[in-house]
Amino acid sequence: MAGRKVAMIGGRTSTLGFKAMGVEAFVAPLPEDGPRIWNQLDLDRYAVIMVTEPVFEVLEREVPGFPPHGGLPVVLAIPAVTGSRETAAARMRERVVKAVGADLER
Amino acid sequence: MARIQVNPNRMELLKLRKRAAIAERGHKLLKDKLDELMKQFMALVQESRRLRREMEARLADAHLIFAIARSEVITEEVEESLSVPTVDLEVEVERANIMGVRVPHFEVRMEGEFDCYSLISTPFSLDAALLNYRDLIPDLVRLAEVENNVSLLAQEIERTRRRVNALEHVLIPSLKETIVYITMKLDEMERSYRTQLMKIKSMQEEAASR
Repeated sequence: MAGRKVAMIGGRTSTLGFKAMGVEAFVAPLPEDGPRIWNQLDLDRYAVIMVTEPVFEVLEREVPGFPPHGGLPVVLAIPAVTGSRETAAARMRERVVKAVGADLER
Repeated sequence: MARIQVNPNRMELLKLRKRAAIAERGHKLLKDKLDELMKQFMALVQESRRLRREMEARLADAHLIFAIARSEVITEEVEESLSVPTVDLEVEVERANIMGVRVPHFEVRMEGEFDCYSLISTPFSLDAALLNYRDLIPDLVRLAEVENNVSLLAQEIERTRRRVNALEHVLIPSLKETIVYITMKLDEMERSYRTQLMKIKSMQEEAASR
């Protein structure tokens, strides 16, 4: 399959370093800007879309069917510069609980 | 348990017995599949947890070092320096297979050097900070892949479990019940036929003795 790009949605400070590395950065000055940016993305171009946790939370709330499941692109929640909010870890835990029927956190 | 609506005859009984045997075999196979899926799933969950912990720590470090580097120059200057990246980052998407579940596999391809900026107008600590980001990207993509695998496998586990349960608690019991029903019905018919014969015989004997 052809090469795809990596995108990132997040605050200016969180995305700047990645932008220099060839990641296509979309700056969301506020987490609430996330849905607008998300809807403008051409999702077929990307393999991975990194989203900072504050934006991820807003997208989850406001965009139906987010995060996309089963195909590409794969959405990865990463901590913003302000630090980890454990959003991604919590989602992972929910998935495990749903599949296994028990919380395996140790 | 709901009995299947069939005519209680020997033909149906044989058919149902065959179906029950197949259902039981399928149930065993699916259950084995579920066990193996679970094993793979647990390994993946462990890996994704480890990767995420590692990545979050490294990302926090990278942000910190970058912030320090930025504090040495004017913000606009850094932003300007980094606004035209010369690194070409692409991800090759391949298909992999975990226990029959098709999952994407990513290969990161990075070309070009990242120091697209003037070395005079930026502090050298910026180079170090950016190096951190460069090293992080393949691991972030790997983490995305592993987390995606976890969620795809979780979905498959749910689906397999539903099938196992449907076989175990619905199909197999109802087949068994129907088999019992037909057997009893056939026995009943047999008994009724025998009593009829006995009755006829006794009537004939009565008629003969008169």
